[in-house]
Amino acid sequence: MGVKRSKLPWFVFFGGMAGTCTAFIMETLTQTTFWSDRGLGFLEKIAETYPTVVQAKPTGFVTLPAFFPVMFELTILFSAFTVLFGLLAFIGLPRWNHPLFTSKRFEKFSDDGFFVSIEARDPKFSQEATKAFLEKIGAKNIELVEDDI
Amino acid sequence: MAATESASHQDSGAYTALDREPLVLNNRSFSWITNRICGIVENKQPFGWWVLFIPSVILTGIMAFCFVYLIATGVGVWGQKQPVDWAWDITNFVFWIGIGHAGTLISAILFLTRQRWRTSVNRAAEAMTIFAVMCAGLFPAFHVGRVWMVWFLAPIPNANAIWQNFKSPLLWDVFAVSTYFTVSAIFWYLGLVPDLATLRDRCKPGIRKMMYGIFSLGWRGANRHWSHYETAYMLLAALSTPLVLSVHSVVSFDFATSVVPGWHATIFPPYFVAGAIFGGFAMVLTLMIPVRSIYGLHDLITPKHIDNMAKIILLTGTIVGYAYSMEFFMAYYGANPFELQTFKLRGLYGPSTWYYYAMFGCNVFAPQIFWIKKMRTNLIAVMIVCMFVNAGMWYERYVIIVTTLERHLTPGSWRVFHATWVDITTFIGTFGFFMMNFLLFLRFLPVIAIGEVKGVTPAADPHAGESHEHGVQEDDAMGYETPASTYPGGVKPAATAA
Repeated sequence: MGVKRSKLPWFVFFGGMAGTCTAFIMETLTQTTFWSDRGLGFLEKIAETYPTVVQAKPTGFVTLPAFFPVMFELTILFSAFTVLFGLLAFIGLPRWNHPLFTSKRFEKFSDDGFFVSIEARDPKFSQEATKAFLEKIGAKNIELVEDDI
Repeated sequence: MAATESASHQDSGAYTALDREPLVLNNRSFSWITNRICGIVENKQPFGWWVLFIPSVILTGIMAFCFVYLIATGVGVWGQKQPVDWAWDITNFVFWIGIGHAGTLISAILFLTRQRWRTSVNRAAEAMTIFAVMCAGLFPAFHVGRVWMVWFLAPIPNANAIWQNFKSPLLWDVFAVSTYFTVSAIFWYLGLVPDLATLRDRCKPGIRKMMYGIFSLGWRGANRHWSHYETAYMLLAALSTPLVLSVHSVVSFDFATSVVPGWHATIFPPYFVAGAIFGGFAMVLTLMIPVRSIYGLHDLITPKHIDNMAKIILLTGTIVGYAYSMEFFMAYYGANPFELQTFKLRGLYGPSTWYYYAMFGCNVFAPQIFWIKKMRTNLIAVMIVCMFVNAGMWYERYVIIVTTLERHLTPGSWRVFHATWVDITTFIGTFGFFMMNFLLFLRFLPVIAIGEVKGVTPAADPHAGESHEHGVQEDDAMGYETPASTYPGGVKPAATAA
């Protein structure tokens, strides 16, 4: 059928990176002076955050090891959501109905049947020629499914 | 047929590939598998289901009562007092979260390592993960005291515009557990979609068909769908693998990053992960062995599956035993007298040493019986060992958390913990909640991944029925004389007749 390898992993890579960055920005903005030390103090003003002093530890420190677990978890979380929604976008689901569902024979696909569907929008489609072709290659049951939407 | 062939090969002493044990017995057809698994959902539930379901609902009610009582009265209804501020609640939290790990291990790590036997148990194990994490989440939520302020844990500024302390292991835990729950749920649901479509296609029109239709998202099983779907499934497996290792590591950081003797140990993360997988597999077997016999799934969950899981229990149990011993050794060998004293009190002459012996016996000695193959395939023996492990893993967390705090650095405040009736009934109640969820899962969703298990049947193998002798055999390459009787039918296959 010439189905190419799915491009989903690329989207997931960027989704995961977005998670890492979200966590890093959230942590540094709320716990440290990382951004204001670099002349980006307006970010703290926009987000209305100020560095929280915990256990008298200096806010100038960006303690990456302590920030790492949350960065890791958000990377995984964002990636997983990208997988879910990316997959649905790629395969065009969910959809409420499909003309194929009107076919009684179609229901066997999810049990032990094998089903070939040739859509009318295919440029080489012709009602007679396609039927004849399918008969030639040994189809057991050929059915015309009409789209009444 | 295959079995007799390989037997004759062994007799003649030739080099042949061993037959793989089939993962679906009796050459069941695709439609048999569909009918058998969907039948569980479509038919009336057997008597045994109701016998388990009704007490589970009652226990869930008791659990709810205990939590309401706690909210109305205060956390003091639990038995914790200084210095034992983490007691049954955190023990139960770690216990339940550990149970979940086997589900993710089966669904993700065994998927990446191409362990095809996972398909018969992964769906139920993933469901178990989700329900166990739900039970686990209850305890820290109520442990905070004022449960209506539990939203302070979420990464949003609280009422005083103060953010959480992202350097705290307790907050890491919030992120780890909530991510774990979400990703496990996504993984489980995505795996369910094709099977929900199967159920949808078998239903008569009505409310059931509509519900299965909505949740199967209009799945049509098209080749293009499967192509993306399988990529997505593999990605989720690849994401869940580091996730599952991280979750219990982060849980162990709650202890390991503190300065409390007995907790401050670098061995904790791997030790916790091994223990979680160990306890989780015991719970998988505890659930699956009854399911298998109640619903007649003997051809799908075969003795080989049980054997494999028993081997994992043996392996991880032994790792856990090594960790217990190494912990003791490090306390002895390290130069910290407090650490050594903690371990002496924990295992030799403290007030709660019997917990330590119960833990060691249940977790390290009980699974050793699995060295014997007969025991790994004897269901009663497997069930008994699993019960020991289930109990032992709870004791392990109790030993780590409670017995350590009972004898901490200030002898003046030493106190032995006594559980109250609320502690005990809440914990028992969570078992009811867990079982109720699991039984509802059996009632409404396919317990075995129908689409995946079809892929491991002999019928799905494109080389089914072919002989092993294709390609160059060692006999030919080395110029050995091979007796013609080695080959099926006594004829040397053309491919090897070079």
